Amino acid sequence: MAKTIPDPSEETLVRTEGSPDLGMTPGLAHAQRLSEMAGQTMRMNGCSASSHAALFADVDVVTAYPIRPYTAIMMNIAQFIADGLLDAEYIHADGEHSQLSAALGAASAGARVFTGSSGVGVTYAYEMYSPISGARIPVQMAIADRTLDPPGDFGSEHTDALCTRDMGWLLGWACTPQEVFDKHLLGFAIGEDPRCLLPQMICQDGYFVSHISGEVQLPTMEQMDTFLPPYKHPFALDPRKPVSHGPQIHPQQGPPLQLERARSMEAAIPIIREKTDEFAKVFGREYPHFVESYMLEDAEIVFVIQGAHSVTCMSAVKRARERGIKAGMARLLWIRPFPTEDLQQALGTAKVVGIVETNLCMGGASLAGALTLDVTTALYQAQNRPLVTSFMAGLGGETIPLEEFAWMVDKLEAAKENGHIEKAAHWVGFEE
Amino acid sequence: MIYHELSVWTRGIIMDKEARDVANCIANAAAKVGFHSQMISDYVDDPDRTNCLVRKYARFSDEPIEFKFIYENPHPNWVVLVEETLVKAVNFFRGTADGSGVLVVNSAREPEYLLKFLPEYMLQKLSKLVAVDAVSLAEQQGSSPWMFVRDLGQLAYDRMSTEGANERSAVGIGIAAPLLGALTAATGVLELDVVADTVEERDAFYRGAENHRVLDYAETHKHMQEAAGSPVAGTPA
Amino acid sequence: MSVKGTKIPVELRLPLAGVTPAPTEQAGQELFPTGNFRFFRPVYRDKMPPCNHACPTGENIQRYLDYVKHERFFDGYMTIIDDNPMPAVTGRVCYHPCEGACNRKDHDEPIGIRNVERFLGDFGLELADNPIKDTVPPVNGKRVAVVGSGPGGLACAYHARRLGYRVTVFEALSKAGGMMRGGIPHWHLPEDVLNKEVAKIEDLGDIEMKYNTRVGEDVSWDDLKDFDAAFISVGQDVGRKLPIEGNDLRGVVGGLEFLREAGFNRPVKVGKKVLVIGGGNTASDTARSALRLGAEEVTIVSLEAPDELLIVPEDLEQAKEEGVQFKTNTACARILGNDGVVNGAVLCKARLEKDEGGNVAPQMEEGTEYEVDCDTVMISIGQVQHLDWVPEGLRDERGLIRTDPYGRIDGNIFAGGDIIRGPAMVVDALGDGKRAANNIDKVLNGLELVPESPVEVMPYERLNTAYFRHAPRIEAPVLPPKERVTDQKMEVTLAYDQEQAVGESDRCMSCGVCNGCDNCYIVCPDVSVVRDQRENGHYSIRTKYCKGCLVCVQECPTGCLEKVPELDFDEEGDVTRMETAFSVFDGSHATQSVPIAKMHEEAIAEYDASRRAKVDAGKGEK
Repeated sequence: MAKTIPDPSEETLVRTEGSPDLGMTPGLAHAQRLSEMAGQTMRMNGCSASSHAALFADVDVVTAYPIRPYTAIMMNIAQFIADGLLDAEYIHADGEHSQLSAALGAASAGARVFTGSSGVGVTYAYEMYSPISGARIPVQMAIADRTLDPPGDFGSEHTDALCTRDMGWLLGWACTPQEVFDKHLLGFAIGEDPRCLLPQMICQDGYFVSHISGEVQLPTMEQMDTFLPPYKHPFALDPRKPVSHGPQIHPQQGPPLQLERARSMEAAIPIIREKTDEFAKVFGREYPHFVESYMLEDAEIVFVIQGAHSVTCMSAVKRARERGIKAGMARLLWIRPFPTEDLQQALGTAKVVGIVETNLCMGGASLAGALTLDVTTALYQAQNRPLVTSFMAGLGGETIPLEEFAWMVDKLEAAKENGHIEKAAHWVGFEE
Repeated sequence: MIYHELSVWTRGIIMDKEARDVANCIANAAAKVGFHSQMISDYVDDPDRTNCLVRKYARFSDEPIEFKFIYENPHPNWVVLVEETLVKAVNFFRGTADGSGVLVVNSAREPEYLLKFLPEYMLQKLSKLVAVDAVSLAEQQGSSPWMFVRDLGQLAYDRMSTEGANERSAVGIGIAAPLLGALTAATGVLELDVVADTVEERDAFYRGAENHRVLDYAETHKHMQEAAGSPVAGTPA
Repeated sequence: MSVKGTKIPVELRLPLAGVTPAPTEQAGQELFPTGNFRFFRPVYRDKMPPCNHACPTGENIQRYLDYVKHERFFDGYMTIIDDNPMPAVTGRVCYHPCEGACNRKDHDEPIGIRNVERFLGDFGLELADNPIKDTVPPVNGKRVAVVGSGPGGLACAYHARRLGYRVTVFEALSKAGGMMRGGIPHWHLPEDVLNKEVAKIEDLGDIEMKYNTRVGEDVSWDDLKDFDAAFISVGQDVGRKLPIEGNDLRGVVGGLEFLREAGFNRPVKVGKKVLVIGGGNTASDTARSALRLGAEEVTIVSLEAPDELLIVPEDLEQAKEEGVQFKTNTACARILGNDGVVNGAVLCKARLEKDEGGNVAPQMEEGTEYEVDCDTVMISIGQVQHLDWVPEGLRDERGLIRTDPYGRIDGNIFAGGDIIRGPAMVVDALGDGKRAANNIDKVLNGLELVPESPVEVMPYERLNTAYFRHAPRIEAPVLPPKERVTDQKMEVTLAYDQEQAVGESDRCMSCGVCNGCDNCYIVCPDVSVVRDQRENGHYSIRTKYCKGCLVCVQECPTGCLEKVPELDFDEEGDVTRMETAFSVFDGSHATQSVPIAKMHEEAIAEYDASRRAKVDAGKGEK
């Protein structure tokens, strides 16, 4: 019988030894067994972190279709399978729609399914998002953000994943390779909790996170066993216990089902809190439940931001503080479910809030950004109700440099002094 | 403050790995001796276009690097050309401070011949031109002259890393090793042995460190300018 | 510095979500000057085809085959006569070293080059006007003497005249042609073909033919020095004697002398049973002529073994077809006679050996003698020349004139043909004549004679043979043996018709030489091969755009395209430098915004105008 896992040929392996801590991009590519990697600290980029997370989560089915920048995630997983590190079914789909369809089918049968995409790939699969969450199938998707067309652009914009924000998926951004790794594990743990049963979209900025490396602490096998036991779906398709998934219904049956779906999102909030705390206990890395606070204690002007640019933003806030400006930053870790309460608390002292929009939401009440819609709604009910303005920055994947953050700080300071905002949305770089 | 930017120019796909290795090893060596360092693979220039111009970057400093998301090196002072024709293909001294650019070219030709391809606005930035015949100094393997002593099979792995996947082959192989040797020796900032520790093919690294030709342009240029009685344009940063 | 999108000047911004200018060939290439992707440049570098290299006259064979292929016969003819003044002659008699060298022999069968040459030569003879006359410059006042009007002499006269010299040709006999008339039988080279070719040369003017003027008798060595330069190609027309008993009997004749008499249409008498002694081409020609002139039985007696015979294979085969018999590894020990007339010969087994000086030293086997009947014995064992008139020291003991590597004897006196190389081919003499004319021109212009620079001959291995469909060689028609032996003047090998000539030329692989096949133009994925510019005769490469994928080089059938390191090109125009790696900031990307934005504005204006007209019209109705 033919080998299912081919031996890497000698020829190709001849020159592949090398100490694993070498290289800024390389991950741990050459381990013979997973246990060799476990517990090590490696330098790897976000793509590599995602694929290693899938490896440690011991996913059963991977559905893949390439699109830059997330492609490398699937390349690595294919290599893990070829190297015999991961025992998973790897399905080459003929497009993202099929990719998600196959993921739904596999997950319905009880498999832990990992998939992903970028940019227009995310939107091509759009039809499948609601069926997956509606069927309460906890598929996990890794997104490395890419600007939607036109024109062709590999740069990171959050628009792709934000398009799906109302589809009933847990949605959140990570800003370092370590956080990417951790968030994947956390996502599985939350989504597969039988009280939750929701799909998760774990996002990272294309290039800024996906292609720039940082250190990643890999878990031990014991930690994995403790935190993420084997997945078991309560009503998976099984010939011994036949059930129907996704039957046709009568309109009267709609309201209660939709109420159920909406409540599942609300119900996820305490589960996220619980699992985040549990993660900290097991792995020793503490993450805030929903909002990362940076210099917020007495902050009067506050950036609300998500994703990679928060790294630069923190430097900008620090510099503003050095100038005597009471600046702060609130980073959103999850935006679905939206952490209204956490955000209200975090912005308790804020007088002006600037929302950094790395996405394009055209024609809305916020004029250009999607995040502002949620943040403003959340703050409308807040006790102190700060002024809110948004900044369109880093579109097309352009870097947001410190100078631009400094410019934004000045705008927020001016609004604080004047008691009113200059305009609802600033296009950074196009204004004086 | 110590701060250096290395820009490695190469050609898409077929020589991507060589350039990655050069940038990787410099970044790793700098990190080993306590610098803050960063290696960046080209992303915005479509690195999957065969033959096209592609860049890899390394930056290191004794202070934290705050602008780690800047795609391109704003002020490269070390430039490595993995393939000699690049000398006439692009303005690789964009943003370089006057008289500060160390240029290392993989070429069997004389530095004087290479120099004639640099227009005045690039010569102004040049400090040293280093020619190293990395192809003959490298460990010989493979047969394709297109890919500099490597074979097509290996290229498949390289192609994956071009997309950001894990490095499959060892780091610091092929012509990257002698190029690194020449670069390290000519710049003198990092110790040879420190960089050698990050390079897989150490012998080839040392061969490159010993066998290269340096044209000290800024120095000779200064003498020429002095002889002509005019001030030197720009000083090294 | 990083190019900040928000800081990009208006003219660099992409208009309308990245609409780019129309991808026309020119605009598209300007849009994206990708010449700097290239590190090898495709370059058209013609190599020397092996046929051309093997030809002693250096005929541009590839080029005229290409002309014939395209039915441009006049151009083909004019190409040949640049090197060879008498293609109708060589097209019949040449032993075609070109075909021996032809790369096509490694593919299937060599091209029938000689037959095409004959086709072109005959085409030239049919022309109403002599086109060569237009190529001849006025005389320059200097005079060249040519001794001998064989192929070497005529070629030298022809080329010297084309270089502007007034030429005087001294010929010992009454007609021009040398060995072509006195050595090659009419069934091989018809007399009128030779006459016409000679006439064409004489027709050029300022070539004075002095017949019945023998050098050494009528003209002396010193007389030649009155000329600015001289060329000696007197050939070797004195048949060697066979040093055996009975060689002075009646009925023993020299083969060469026999052929000469026949060639000059003088009456010859041949017996019924003829022995021809010798194993070379002259023996073959002698034997076959004898058959045509009355002999009933002709036998070639040669020291050579069957595989050692120095007869061109096709002639050997034809001789056998005609009934010539062969006694190989056989020597003639003595000739028997009665009343001073031959009536037989004693033959014996023997083999060919050569002494230290390279002379033939037959090794006869004792006790193997036997007698044969015959009434004529023809001796064709080589020829010599009387050179008493040449100063001693300039000739060697074997009857040859000594020259330097440039064919020069002394000062401005050159030599060529059989007299410097021994019995050789017509085309060798033609080549010597051409070389002598060119060298005379150099010497008279005060130039040094230098060795020719080595050329790169295209080997079969470097052709892209996948492009050449196997096709058999088209053989020229040959008269049936029974018919052709009836007449000394009946030509044995017939000519190609036009279709055959074109078909055979089409088999040429154009080794190493661009023949404008358009393959590079077709395979180039980037429209970078241009054929409206005539570099190398056919194509040029758009170096600003060509990415150096080298598909053209890989797919060039003839191998004339080569890859050359781009850095070898160091002229200013050879540099395609971009400002950044991704060229959206270079080329017309940098200026596209304005025209596209203008297109948009115009469309809005047009729409507005038409709509306003309708609305206004509607108002009018109400």
